Amino acid sequence: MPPVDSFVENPHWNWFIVVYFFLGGIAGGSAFIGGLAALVGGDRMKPVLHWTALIPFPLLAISGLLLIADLGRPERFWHMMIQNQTWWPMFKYWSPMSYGSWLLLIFSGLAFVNFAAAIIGGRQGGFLGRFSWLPRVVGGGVLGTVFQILLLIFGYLFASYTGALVTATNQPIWSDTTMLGALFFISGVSAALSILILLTGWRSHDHYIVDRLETVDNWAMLLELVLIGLFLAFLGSIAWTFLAHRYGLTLLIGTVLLGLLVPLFLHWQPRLLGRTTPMLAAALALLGGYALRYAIVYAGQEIPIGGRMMG
Amino acid sequence: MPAMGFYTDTTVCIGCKACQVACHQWNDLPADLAEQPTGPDQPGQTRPLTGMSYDNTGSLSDLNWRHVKFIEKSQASDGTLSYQPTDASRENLQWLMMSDVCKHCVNAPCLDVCPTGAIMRTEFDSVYIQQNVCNGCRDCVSACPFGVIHMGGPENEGKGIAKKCTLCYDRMQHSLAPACAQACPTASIQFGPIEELKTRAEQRVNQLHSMGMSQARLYGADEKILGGLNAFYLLMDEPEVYGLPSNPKVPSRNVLPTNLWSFGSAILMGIAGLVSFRKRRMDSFAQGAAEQRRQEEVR
Ligand code: SF4
Ligand code: SF4
Repeated sequence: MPPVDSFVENPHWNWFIVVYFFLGGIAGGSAFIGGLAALVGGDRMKPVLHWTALIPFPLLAISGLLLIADLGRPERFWHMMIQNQTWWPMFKYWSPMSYGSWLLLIFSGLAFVNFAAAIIGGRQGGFLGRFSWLPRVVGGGVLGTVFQILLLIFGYLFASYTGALVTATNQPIWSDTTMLGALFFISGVSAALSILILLTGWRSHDHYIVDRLETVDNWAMLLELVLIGLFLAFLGSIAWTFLAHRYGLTLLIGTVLLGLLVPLFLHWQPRLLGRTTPMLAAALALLGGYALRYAIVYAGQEIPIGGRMMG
Repeated sequence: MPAMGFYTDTTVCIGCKACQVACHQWNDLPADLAEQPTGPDQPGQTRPLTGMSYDNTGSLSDLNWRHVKFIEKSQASDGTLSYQPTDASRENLQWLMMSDVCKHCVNAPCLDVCPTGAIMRTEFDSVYIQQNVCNGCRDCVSACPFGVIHMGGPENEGKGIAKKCTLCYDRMQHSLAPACAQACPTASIQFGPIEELKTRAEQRVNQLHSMGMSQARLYGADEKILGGLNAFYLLMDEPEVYGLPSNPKVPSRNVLPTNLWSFGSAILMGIAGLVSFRKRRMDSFAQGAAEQRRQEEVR
């Protein structure tokens, strides 16, 4: 008799979804870091804020397209938000697929405003100049603070809901743990920090900014290691089946070793490879973030557990 | 309207597949042919043998909303059980047949997650997928613990929209029994008000027990399985033997704990960020960096 009772079918959530989870994690993580930096960092964090304003929106735009393309009936994507028969809003707070669609919509709106404000910047003339009030409104004062807090909250909710999405199913591995929301969120923050290090590091003379970003990233990576440990502990006996499979190895080698332990080591030994050390650490951490989502999305669907039909 | 559904007594199933055929006919479902011809001179449409006993369709699918399972159970003289048709040393062969279908769960996992409202509960307490609402997100496929829902339709290839048994909603609206139950020649599939069916099923279990068949049991007749299954079964072995999970769960159970863990991690991350990005701290770092630069210039 099969030891574990899973007879669930495969939803065929493929690389569209993996890429979406990755980009969405970076977008959410950037907004979260940007919010924190804006709230307490003041002018010193300007170079970081520039990028945290620019990064999320394009990634969310790509994400939305990927999600729509992944549907069996793409032209019906709006059914997630509006009930097509009654025209009432469609919302289920207990279904991550439902509340996540709303999160994507609202977060994209906020990210667009932030993006537009950064593009407009100090411009005076021309078409963009007409909106020169926007950067002033979102860049300071009470409204600016509220705006940054909203970005921080929605960035967090968005980066973590993707974990809740796969967990709120009956797929083995995905639904055997409640750790994936936290794991995807922290990994998103870490990936966002890596991109920020890559973007600010190569041109900023203010090396202390990279140093600060790395410090926060160290905490994120340590937390991620703990969460991966908890994730495996939750899986119980299935953990061994998972780890022995190529997706488990992808997680161990791609995420734990190359994406977390090596970058942590490089942060600790910043002069090991000269000036490129932080860049290499950041690039590896990004790779690890992708490997995490790849491993988990495919493991839940493809590792044979119990009597379910494969394919 | 009382809850309506199926009671399936697997002990009297003879594996005739009349239910499968009736379902195909009433719902106008074409034959599910695994191998389509690739050209005009290619061999015709056939379905390869499954190698699993007398099973020719393999599983429920977008086109097979009923599926008769043929489980070959053998018990050696030393008591070892085997369910593998490929086992060479099989003795005392016995067929466990079961006509599988959507369970029309009372707490239906598919309905729980569906983000478009396509999956709804009807006045008969059955679970129905509105074909003009579903947008093919496939969340319900991940949620159904029985592997019932499959995606199909003109835009097939794993995509399309969600398909499964409707409990013949159209027939029921005209007071007709579902096609499968109507066609079943042995009354293995019985249709009616759930409460009535439960009483009948309990009597049957008692009868089988009194005949010495202590392994007879009901699956999904009480609330333990997803609040009750409106298509429940009388089984002669463990549920897993029939491909049924013994403890299926509702997906939304995980949402609150997952969000609590994420919230905790966000608080920790927030503290790390606030401490590291604090203005005063940044100022002192900036000063240090400027100092270092000045010294380098002097040298
Ligand atoms: S058996 Fe599956 S498809 Fe049918 S109601 Fe239950 S969860 Fe939904
Ligand atoms: S595939 Fe269709 S029926 Fe299934 S959850 Fe998505 S919208 Fe609902």
